[in-house]
Amino acid sequence: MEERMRQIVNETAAEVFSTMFFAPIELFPTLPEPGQWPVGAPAIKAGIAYHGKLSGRVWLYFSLSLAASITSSFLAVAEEELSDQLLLDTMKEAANMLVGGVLGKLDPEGASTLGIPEATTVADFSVAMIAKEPGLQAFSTEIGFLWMTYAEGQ
Amino acid sequence: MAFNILVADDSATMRMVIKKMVRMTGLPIGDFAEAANGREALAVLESSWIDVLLTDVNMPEMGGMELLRAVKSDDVHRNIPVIFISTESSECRMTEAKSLGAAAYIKKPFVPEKIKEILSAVLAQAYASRLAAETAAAGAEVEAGEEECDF
Repeated sequence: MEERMRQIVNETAAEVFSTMFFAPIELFPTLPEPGQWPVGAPAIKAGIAYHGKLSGRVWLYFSLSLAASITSSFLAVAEEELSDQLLLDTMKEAANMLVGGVLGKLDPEGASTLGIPEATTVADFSVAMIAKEPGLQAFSTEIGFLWMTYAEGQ
Repeated sequence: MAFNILVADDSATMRMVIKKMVRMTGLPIGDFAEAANGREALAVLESSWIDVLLTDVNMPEMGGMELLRAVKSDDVHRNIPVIFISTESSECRMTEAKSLGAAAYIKKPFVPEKIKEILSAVLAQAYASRLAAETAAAGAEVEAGEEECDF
């Protein structure tokens, strides 16, 4: 990821996650060592496409504990009371806000539009599954890493 | 006087958060109605009294811009203030919304204070509109009564 893009993604993620989800977040300088990669853990995969002058798709991979913490803060509801659907909806919203915010900065003329966000659960997520996908990045959070892939021009 | 709010967003969680934040403003809010897209929002407007419409831009079936056009071209609903709450944050999109008659545009992420600031201003305007509508309706009733007397 080029430096300007990296800076925009980092700033936008920090703004979105601290303002809406009360979760400090920072783009990790490099990919964490493979020893720190989750293996076979349940996760939520949330993503959104964008089309127009800029086009592509971003996927975010949240561990269940991170998703629960974020959703609990977002909705002001205790983690024990959260349904799977609330977790999925909130992760969709997180992807929507992150990608929408980045797109607004990269394309201020609004020649690109967001698609409809989607999310699904992954029973046994391992970073090795996405290690060869384009644009793999990791954010550090208070509850482990948040993983992201992005592919342009899809 | 309490104001009825319609929240249109395809995300149920976002509708929940917006409603919570609006309640937190302490403004005189009456009932909330919800819609998952523009088409559902138009149906709600046909069946309920709504003072302010808060809507997302990007929704399936009918998006916020199309909804705004429909509201502003309807003689009955055109005075309902429409506020966008969206991640679509380009200047172009906000200018388009304003030119179509949107009352305000709130970018996500947002803080409760922003909602309060904008909603306060818009509700003041909604109050004036409702007062004018009620005065006009009362005037029409008086006129109708006078006409009946003439006969």
